[in-house]
Amino acid sequence: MATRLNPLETAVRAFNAVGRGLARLGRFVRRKPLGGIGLFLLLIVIIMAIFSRQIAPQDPKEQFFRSSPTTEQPLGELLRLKGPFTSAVVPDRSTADPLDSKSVFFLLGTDNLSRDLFSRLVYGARNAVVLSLMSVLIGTTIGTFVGLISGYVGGMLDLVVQRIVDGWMAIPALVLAITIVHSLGPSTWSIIIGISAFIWPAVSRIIRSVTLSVREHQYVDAARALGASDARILFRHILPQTMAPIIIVVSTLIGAAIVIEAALSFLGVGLTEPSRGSWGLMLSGDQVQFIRVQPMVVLWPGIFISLTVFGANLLGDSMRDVWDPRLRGI
Amino acid sequence: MQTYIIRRILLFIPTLFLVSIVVFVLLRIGPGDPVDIFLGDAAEGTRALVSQRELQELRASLHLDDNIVVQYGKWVVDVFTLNPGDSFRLNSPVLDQVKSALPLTIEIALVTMALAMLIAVPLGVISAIRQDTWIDYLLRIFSIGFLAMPIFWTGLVAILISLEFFNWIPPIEYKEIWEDPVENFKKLWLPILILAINSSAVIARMMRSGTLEILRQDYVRTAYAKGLSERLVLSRHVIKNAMLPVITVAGLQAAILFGGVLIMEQLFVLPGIGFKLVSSITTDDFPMIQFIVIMIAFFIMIINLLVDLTYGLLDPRIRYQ
Repeated sequence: MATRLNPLETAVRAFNAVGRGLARLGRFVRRKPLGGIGLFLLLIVIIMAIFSRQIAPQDPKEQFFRSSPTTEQPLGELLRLKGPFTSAVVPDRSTADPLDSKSVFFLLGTDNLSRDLFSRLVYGARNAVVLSLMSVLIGTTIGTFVGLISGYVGGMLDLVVQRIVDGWMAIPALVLAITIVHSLGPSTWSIIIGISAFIWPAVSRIIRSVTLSVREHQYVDAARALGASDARILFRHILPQTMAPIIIVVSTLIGAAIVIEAALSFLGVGLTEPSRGSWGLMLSGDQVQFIRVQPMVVLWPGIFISLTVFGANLLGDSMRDVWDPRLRGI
Repeated sequence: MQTYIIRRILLFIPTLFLVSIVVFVLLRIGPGDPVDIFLGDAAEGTRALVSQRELQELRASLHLDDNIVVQYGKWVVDVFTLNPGDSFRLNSPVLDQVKSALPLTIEIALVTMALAMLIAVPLGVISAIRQDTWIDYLLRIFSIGFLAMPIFWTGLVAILISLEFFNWIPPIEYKEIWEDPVENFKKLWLPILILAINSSAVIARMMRSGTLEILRQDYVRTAYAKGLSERLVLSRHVIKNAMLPVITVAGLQAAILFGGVLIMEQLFVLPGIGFKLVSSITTDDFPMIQFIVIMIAFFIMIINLLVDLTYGLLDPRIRYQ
């Protein structure tokens, strides 16, 4: 029976574990400063995603107009495509008095539909993080499972599964994603399914090759001789060996997932307006027409996408160098 | 060698079948209904006016009311006899549509790949032989930076730059290369350049790491030791061997490149296969989508086969059984 720990001891142990984790992280950042930069960029995006509500100064969906009605525009002048650092007086909707007004400040200006660009970029981070993490998670889980079984069982099953993976991979990722998302209708889940559809075959290939080599090791024979079941061998003895390649592949695929999500919105099959903000959507259709009037409206989302993907790539590269140099270049 | 090629080509058949089943099922599980296109843009409003019976007749004439297995069987026979039917939307045979769009896409893809190699191979070699100098850092930042930029955004920025600083936009109309090569070039040089730079970022990285690995080999030291010039060592001993992984990546790039071509065709309004595919998908034009996807998969498999065969040419140690 496990001895019961007193709360103090638990706290000390947790504290030590966190300390050890941070020390390892510190060593990683010192050894691979570029990986540290990548981690830093990703952390910024993740913080923006979690605390969008606190960071975004305005409601990302609200369309602003100046509280000075004219005959042409009875609601007041729309604050369309304003440059950065614009401030304006707008009606205050939070009070009952319709004449109340408040001052708003647009850090990066407004978009074509008079919405605060910075707030939309911040909420766009939430969108990118949620969609890419979810799809990478689902795709990796399926891919790991398929790869493990296919590599471990071998024989006919392996042959058939590998042909399925071949066929699946012969369809370009973007084409597969567009077809799935359009067919299932534009929703968050169909985008997640569409993106994970190109992740699982790639993951399953890598996991299969690791499984093929690991299952020949003597300790696997030893486990079998001790009477371990196939499931136990797979999950207790082989799966842990695949963790390093999985983590490395995941960090690379997150970048790809973000780009595919943005490309879907760009092509008009992903998320649609009105939305709280998606980096890809901010680069598509209506917004692009005004590229000459306010280029930054189109440049900012691209900069955010690029920096996030850049961060994921840097981190992935560095983790690969540290943990598994054999995988370099995949 | 011959048996190897034949076996690989025979393996195409199950793979293509799988691709066709995947696409066929994907298109039919969703809520999209192809008869909507025939009802025009105001489908939502006019829907009530069109009787259910008429809709049923329409579905029957498109063979959409059959059992999915029957539909699939019919379609497979059609494709094997190279008669994939008519486009739902355009009222013309799918084959004609594809034939008119294919040359453009092939032109873009081939020129892009050639240009990407021309950019990437020298850059990768220079980066490797001058490892850890400013030129190496510059090239690495260039390649990892371009890897991170989504291609449609790079395209938008390129259009913006050409508009703002050079007051130039690509011609509106597209001319085929044998019609008017100059106009064709004017329309295509920018998208091709963007695609090539994007692909070359990946290839240059592979070329750099491949070259670094080869430079450490004993036979390279021997070559230097017997007094060969750097140029000779590189051209005779290093580049050829460093090309092997690059060819693999170039093959893998084929699928990614098609995604890029699709986006560029959309951005620059080029009537190629990618453009046709996107418009077919958004209008539920099943016969077009099915045929185009199968065709792309076929091309990609051919490219992968060619890549594997090139190994044998570059490295005589590799033999196929």
